[in-house]
Amino acid sequence: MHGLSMHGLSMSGLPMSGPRDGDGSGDGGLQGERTRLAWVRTATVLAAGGLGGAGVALRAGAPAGIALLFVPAVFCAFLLLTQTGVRYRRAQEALRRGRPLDDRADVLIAWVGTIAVTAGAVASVLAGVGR
Amino acid sequence: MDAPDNEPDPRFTLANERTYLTWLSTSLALSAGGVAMAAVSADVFIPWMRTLLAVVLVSLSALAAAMAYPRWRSVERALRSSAPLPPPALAPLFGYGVAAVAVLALILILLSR
Repeated sequence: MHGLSMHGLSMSGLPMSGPRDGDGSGDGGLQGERTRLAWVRTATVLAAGGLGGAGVALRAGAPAGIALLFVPAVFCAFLLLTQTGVRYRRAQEALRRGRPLDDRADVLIAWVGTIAVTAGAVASVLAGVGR
Repeated sequence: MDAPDNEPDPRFTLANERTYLTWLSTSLALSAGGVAMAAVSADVFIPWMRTLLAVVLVSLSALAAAMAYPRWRSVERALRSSAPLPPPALAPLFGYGVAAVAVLALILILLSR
């Protein structure tokens, strides 16, 4: 939106209209919603990756250790999904009051889960899943 | 984080978070692609070529996952010190890498028909 409309004017040169931002975020509070959806999307893909990866490894007859590599991802995804509401309210509060935001714990949890899926995927490929 | 000079606007923090999550999603998609490639029927791809393509995909996935958190941290640090953002140095590698795998896979599929 900012790239298309400079200085409060639309591409046609008319003044822009849009929702008033009650939280001071500049886009009617959609920043928090976009970020919330990004978290839910990532956690869902993480859970699917963990469960799907473990399922593929077990069905292909790979060692159980490879399937176990995927398990932390499912736990991390569960933790992230349970935190969705709390994280969203924290973000909205920070946007409304212009306060700093610190989601470092969730960022680390998401990273650990992704590393687990990646490790499981690398091990599955090297073990010859599908051979 | 790490002796900040000032606290960034929460909008920038959220934008950094979304970019970080996109890197993680990219890594997860590449992992899925790698495992799927390894599981493709041997009738379609030459086995060693199938393994090679799968290894390339999971290697890109590992690279994306490994750099995601350090990059999030460095962007946070840049936001707090009002410094320029670090460039996405490895982004072209992912584009070219996935494109190369896709073109090779397409050629192999056409040759197998």
